This record gives sequence, structure tokens and C-alpha cells, in this order.
Amino acid sequence: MKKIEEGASCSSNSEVLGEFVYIQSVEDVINLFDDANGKICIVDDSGTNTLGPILSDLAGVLCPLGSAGSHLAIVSREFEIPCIMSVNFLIDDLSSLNKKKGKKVTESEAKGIIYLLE
Amino acid sequence: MLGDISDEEANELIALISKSVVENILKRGMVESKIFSVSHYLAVACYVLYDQSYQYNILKEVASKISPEDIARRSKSLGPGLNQLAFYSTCMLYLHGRAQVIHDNLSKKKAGETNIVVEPETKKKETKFILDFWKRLSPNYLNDETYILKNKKITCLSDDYIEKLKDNMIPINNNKEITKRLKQTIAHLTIYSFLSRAECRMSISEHGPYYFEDNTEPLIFKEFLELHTGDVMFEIDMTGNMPYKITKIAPFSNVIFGMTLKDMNKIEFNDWSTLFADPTDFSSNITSIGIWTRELSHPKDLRYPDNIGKLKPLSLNILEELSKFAKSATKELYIDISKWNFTKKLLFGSHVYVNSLLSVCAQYAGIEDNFNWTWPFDYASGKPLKTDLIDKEKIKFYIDKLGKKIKTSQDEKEAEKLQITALEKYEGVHPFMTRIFRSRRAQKLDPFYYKLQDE
Repeated sequence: MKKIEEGASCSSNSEVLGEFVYIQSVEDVINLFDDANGKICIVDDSGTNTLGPILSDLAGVLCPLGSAGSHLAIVSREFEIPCIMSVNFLIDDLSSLNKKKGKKVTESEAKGIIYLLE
Repeated sequence: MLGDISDEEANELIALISKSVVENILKRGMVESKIFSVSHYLAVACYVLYDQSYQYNILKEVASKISPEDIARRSKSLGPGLNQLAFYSTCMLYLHGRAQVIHDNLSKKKAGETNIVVEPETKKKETKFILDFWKRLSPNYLNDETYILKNKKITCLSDDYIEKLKDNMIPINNNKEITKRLKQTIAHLTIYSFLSRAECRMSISEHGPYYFEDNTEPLIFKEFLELHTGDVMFEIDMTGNMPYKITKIAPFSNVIFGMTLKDMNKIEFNDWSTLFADPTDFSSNITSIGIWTRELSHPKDLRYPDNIGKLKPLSLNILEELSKFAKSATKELYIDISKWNFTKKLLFGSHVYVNSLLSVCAQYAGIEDNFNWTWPFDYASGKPLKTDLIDKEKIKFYIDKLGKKIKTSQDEKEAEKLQITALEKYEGVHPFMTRIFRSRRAQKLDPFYYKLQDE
């Protein structure tokens, strides 16, 4: 198990397992309309528009920007979906995470850590 | 006469709103979106409002039929077409456009261009009119009669109005299932509202705290307006004028949630009708819920206090129906918007900021049919415009000008370079926005939105 990122954990304290999807376009989201369950999406938009249609179905959300007060964090909290904002990624190529399995752990109220399971 | 204010008063009002806007922007930060170029469309909208005298021309006609005081009073209800965010924006967006133009003119003068009048007398008169119009709104809407929020609360409803809602409140009794359903419905509606308004929060309004007579628990409201019902009712943008269609429609055009809360550390609001609460997740603090929809009637027929709109209480069963609507409508919108080109998305966002408030003001005056509200979409689809109020070539100029990202030059001081660097990543930001980073002392002497300019 390899630690790949950490950031401010802004919602649910639950541990979660899921498959990573790095969202780079609107089409990436549309492709998940019927397949969002169990996905941990990485998105660099701290608002709700990009992930909006699928947010409630996701296993988790990671965002390198924003904070606990960002729209994405607020709405994730409403859906009780684990969300980590201001993520400090420890790998360069985020698309290399696509389809790989990961685990999100809450270390404290303000810190969440993501591990790559493969 | 409306607009008959002194230069001194105009400058005081400009300084007041400048200070407030700077605080609000610094707290929230710049809005980002992968789908919409928010900074770009906002700057285009602000240019239109000021530079083309669009806001002045429309509000001048509105004011000939109804006073700003009356518009404000008729909005003192749940679910009105206009609220504190709308009233604040009436001034903020106009002054934002004005600041862009003044900055442009000052830059031209600095570059050596001659015959530049930074702020012509006609524009000063228009600005005074807008300021005078604005200053009569909030004091007749807010219970504490201020221009901008005092004590971080937004209360506009009378005590009698509040007491009549008491019987509609449903006790929660620590039922986590109910609060979970409520939270999820609110989340779905939030996502839908932001997407249907290009990331703008104009159709979401939060206000409070209020108190029932025999209860010390604060009562707050969260309103979702302009939900798509497929009818062209008394909202200009319903169906007919929006560039999208939603097949699975909402059961109502608006829904209002009221919540009494216990053991809160903080309940505060800003002038953008946004709630800041501590704890941030207050679902376990909710002690009772009320849900209503306001039956729409034409705003020109409203009268304060006896006819400001009938409320219909709803049961908890509506939560699932609202969630289903919001979720499916969001998906439909998303697929639709994903096919739009850059110009259409940009003008859609600009339309929300330019036309949302002015069209409702025109409805209050009963003159909405005097104006054309579809020009942003006509422009985007290359059709001729059906209004004389808009110069098509200027729209293109604004879009192209703002399309170039601001860059630092060698001449700039280090502090200015840092400010520009902070804004460089946002597309469409106008360079005047760097004024937001100046010291408080500098802002006090030279407000963010510029005093009236002497030649």
C-alpha cells in the first residue's frame, strides 16, 4: 500500500475504498453517468459544476484546490461523501491512477490520506 | 428627483460598497469552473451594464412606473423575485463595469493617448442615478433599514409574518433519516441551481436569523427559486428565453426551507445571501423544518403588506420528488451545455448577470415586454439583435479584450507583479481587479471602485 496524497479532509470521517478516475473533461463525467458508484474522482475544480451530475453517486472526491469552505466540499458534506481538498499529490502523472484501486483514510478532522492499493 | 445626489454623497456610497465588496471577494476568493469562464463572462456583463448604459436605460423606465422603495417593500416575503443579493448586485455589478471602463481610460491616458475623458459628465449623472436607486432598496427591504448588512444578519420578514409560519414547522426529534433526506435534497437543488445559472448563485437565497415568539432557537431560511417547470410564468427566464430545455420538470417553480437550530456557535450572512454557520454541518442541530412553495403572481400586482404572495406549506414527501427532479435536470442540462461552444456559454453567463435582475425589476413595473431579453442568445447564434440598447460590435470588443490574460511587465513594481500573478490563472479577469490587493489605507483614500473622476 503506497501513500500518494494527503490534504484537508472536509467531510465524512469514513474510510473508503474505490477506483480512481482523473477527471479532465466534461466527457469524462458524462462517461460516468451510469458508472459512478465506487469511483474516487480527482478533479481540479473546487466548484460543483464539473462533478455535479455524478457527485452523489461517488465513493470519494479529491481536489488539489480549495478548502473546507469551497462549494465542492460543502456539497460533498451534504451527501456524506468523503472529500479531501487542497490535496498535495505525491505523484506527477495523475492519469496514471485511472482504474487503479485506492483507499481514503481520515487521520484527523483536518487531514485525509489516500493510499494506492496496487 | 432620482439621481439628484451630490458628488460627495456619491463618493461616500462608492466607498461604502467598495469596502464591502473587497471583504466579500477576499473571503470567498475567485470563482472557478471547468464549464464556464466565470471571470470572463462576469466582466463582459459588467461592461454591458455600464458602458452601454444598459442598466441606466432600463431602470430609468422602471423608475417612471414604480419607486425603488416600493420594489423593495414588495420583496419582503419568502420566495420573492428580488432579495438582498439582487439589491446589492444592482450597485456592485454596475460599479464593477464602471471601474473597468475608468481603468481602461486611465491606462489610455497613461499610454499617451489624447482626448480621453476618463468619466464624462453624462456617465457621472447615470452613476448618480444608479447609486440613488440602489440606496433606496435595502433600507426598505431589511428590517434594520441599512444599505449593506449590519451585524451579519439578513432579516426582512415582519414578526407577524414569521409567527404565521409556526404551525407549518415539523419537529425533527433527532430523526437522522429526515435530516439526511433534507441535506441531500438541498445538495441536489444546489448543484442544479448553480449549473442552470452558469455558476451564479442568484436563484439561491439564505436569510435569517429570525425567532418565533416563544422560542430562542434561531430560524433560518434557504430558498431555491426559478426551478424549471416548463411554464412561462412570471419569471422572464422560464423556458421561453433560456437556451435549454428540461423535459423532467420541477413540481414547483420555487421551494423554501425553514429550519430552527439549537446549540449553534455562529449564524452569519453576507450581502450575497450566503450563510456562514458553525458548525458547518449543522444537520444534527436542526430541531424543526418547514417547507413551502410560494404561489406566483405577477410582481406588478403585489402590494405591501397585504398582498406579497401566498405560501403553500409542503410535506416531507416533497423531498424525494425535488431530489429526483434536480438530479435528472442536472444530467439533462450537463449534456446540453457540454455541446455549447465558447461564445454561447459565455453569453449565457453574461445573460444571467445582465438580465436576471433587470427583467424582474421590469416585471415589478409591468413593462417587461418593452424590452428584448434574448439578445445574448441571438448574439451567440449569430442572429441580428432585436434591441437598440445593445451595440453588437462592442460585445465582440469586450470578449476579445478580456480574452487576453493579464500579464506583468518590467515596468511594474514588485507588489503589482505579485498581484497580477495571483490573477493570471483566471481567464477574462480585468486588470483593475489588482486594486483589490492594495492596503486598507490605500483603499480608504482611493476606493476599489474609484471615486467620481475629475478631469
